[in-house]
Amino acid sequence: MSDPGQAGPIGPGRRRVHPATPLLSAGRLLAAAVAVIVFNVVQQSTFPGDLIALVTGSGPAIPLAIAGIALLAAAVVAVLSWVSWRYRFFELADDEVRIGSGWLVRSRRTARFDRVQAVDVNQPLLARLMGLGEVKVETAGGDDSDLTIRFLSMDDCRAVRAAVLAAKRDIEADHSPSPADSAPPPDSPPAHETVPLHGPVPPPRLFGSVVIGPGILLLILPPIIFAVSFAAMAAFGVGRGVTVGQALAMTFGAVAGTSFIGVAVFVFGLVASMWQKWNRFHGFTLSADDRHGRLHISAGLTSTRRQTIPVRRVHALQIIEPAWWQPLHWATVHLNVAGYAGEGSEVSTTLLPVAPLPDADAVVDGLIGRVTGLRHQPSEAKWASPKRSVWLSPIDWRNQTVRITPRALVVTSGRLRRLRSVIPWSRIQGHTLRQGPLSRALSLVDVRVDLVGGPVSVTAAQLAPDDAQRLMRVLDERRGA
Amino acid sequence: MPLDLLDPDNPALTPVSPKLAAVRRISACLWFIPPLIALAALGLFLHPMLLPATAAVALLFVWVLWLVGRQVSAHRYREDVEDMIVARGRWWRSVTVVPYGRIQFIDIDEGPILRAFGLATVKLNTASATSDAQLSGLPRAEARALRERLSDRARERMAGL
Repeated sequence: MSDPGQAGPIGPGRRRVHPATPLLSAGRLLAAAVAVIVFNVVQQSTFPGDLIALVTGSGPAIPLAIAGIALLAAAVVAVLSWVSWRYRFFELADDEVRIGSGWLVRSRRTARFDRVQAVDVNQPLLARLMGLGEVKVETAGGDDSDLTIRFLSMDDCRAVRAAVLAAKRDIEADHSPSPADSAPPPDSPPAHETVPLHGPVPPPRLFGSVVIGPGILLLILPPIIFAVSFAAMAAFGVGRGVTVGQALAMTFGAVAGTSFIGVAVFVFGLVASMWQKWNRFHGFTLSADDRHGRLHISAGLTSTRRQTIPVRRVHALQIIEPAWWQPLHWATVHLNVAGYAGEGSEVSTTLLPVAPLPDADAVVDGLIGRVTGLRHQPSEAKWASPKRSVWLSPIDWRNQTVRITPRALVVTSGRLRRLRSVIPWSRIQGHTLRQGPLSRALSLVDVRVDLVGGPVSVTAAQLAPDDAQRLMRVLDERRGA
Repeated sequence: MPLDLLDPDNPALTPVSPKLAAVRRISACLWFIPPLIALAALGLFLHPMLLPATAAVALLFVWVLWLVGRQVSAHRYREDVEDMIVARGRWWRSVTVVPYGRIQFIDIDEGPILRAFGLATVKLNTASATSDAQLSGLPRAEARALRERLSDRARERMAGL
């Protein structure tokens, strides 16, 4: 960012972004162009030697021409970037934040402060190399409702984020002077700015969580199946005296024979998805800023992501224990945040990527305490699916329960993949009773709890009608709590 | 009390206009009659094996016409003290309860056939992605009045997100 008062095509009150922005924004495009050129050149000449001979062996003309073209291209890129930069700006106006760009084709985007849901600071790889970052302002709305100011120095990023959040607080204080919004929870220490809640996640655990998954089972299972079947053939004499060594060789042959390329692509995809997950969640740290009622998340290996979630916007939490983590007692925690509905990606809505179950419980407990301002108390009532629901969910029925606590509704479901959802009473948007022909025959009712969009959806499945009735009465009573 | 909500013919709930059945039957006709004519023509002129298929589709058509009547009579609503209740379905019964304070905004839609019958669809929008509180086939004046009443109550009991 250059000096704010500077005149020029961008107008007063508007601030420039870092001059490297157009280049960085076009970085991917440039890289792709270079790759295409290199690929074509390499394909054209059968041997690299030919190319070198072509360049060096024909006098000074061709190298000079290449250098000239390169210089010209660089000059054009530089001029275009400079023009593009001159017309890029962002502006913190009285009640909204604006960004704009473009000389001939102008684009403007605005976000009203009172619609801002969250402000994140991200550092993509290229920008990170130059010590720059971007500020992403999330607003309530669909998929494409965010506004990204890129790129600024990290200090400017933090300053802009603080300014946007402060402006939002001011406007909300003006419009609705409710003390509950700004007051910290009663049991929070006001002296500390931020309290660490979890992390950084230890690399071995993250590695384990990334590796232990359904993909690795798919990778291991076919060889085991082949080996077992060949061993069985050998044992029962179908294969007429196949030795163990031959069985192993046949196993390898069968796996390799299924399509070597297919296996290689599968393994590559598996490794890539593991890497992606690792990259996202490396060094995941969760902390709480109780004075401002916010959660901070920072994570990432190649690009550090800093995310701010206002605690008030947390609507539901879900502790998930996948089948393959159950021997290790690990869990992951997802949450629904109002305003992140269109986002839908794993990044914005993961509260903990992987944690031992007691830690996950403690974090969820602490967060529910921050949302509701109440301490943990034992549950008041608990209803489970009756035994007859074994006909509808033969495995899961034992783990289908609903618990009523003073702070929240707790619904469990699933047995191989155990889910425990916690919803503060005041966040429930309504509920829906559902009954199909089978559940009517068995006299069972599903109660779906309607929530803001996100990864967590909650249905209290297969309750006895009396229990469903009680649950509905509780939902009616605690609506405003 | 709440669980007789699962009874499709509960008199405590107000049914929507029976004219909705006519609207839905007309749109069913639009879907079914052209394929039926085509099938029948093909059956007559091309291959008699297509005639049983025509009969099956005709049977399905009659069944759908009957089903529409059943569905519409089960589509009911109730303005309760603190929330709006919208019920639909007989075999697959679904009863949505929306607290007035959770209503964000209300849509009124009038499709061409609905409009011809003087009907409208009222859709309650909450912050929830799953809630499907949609009330089809209210008389237009009643729909407007309902929207006014619901927005007033929503304003009084407005809860922040």
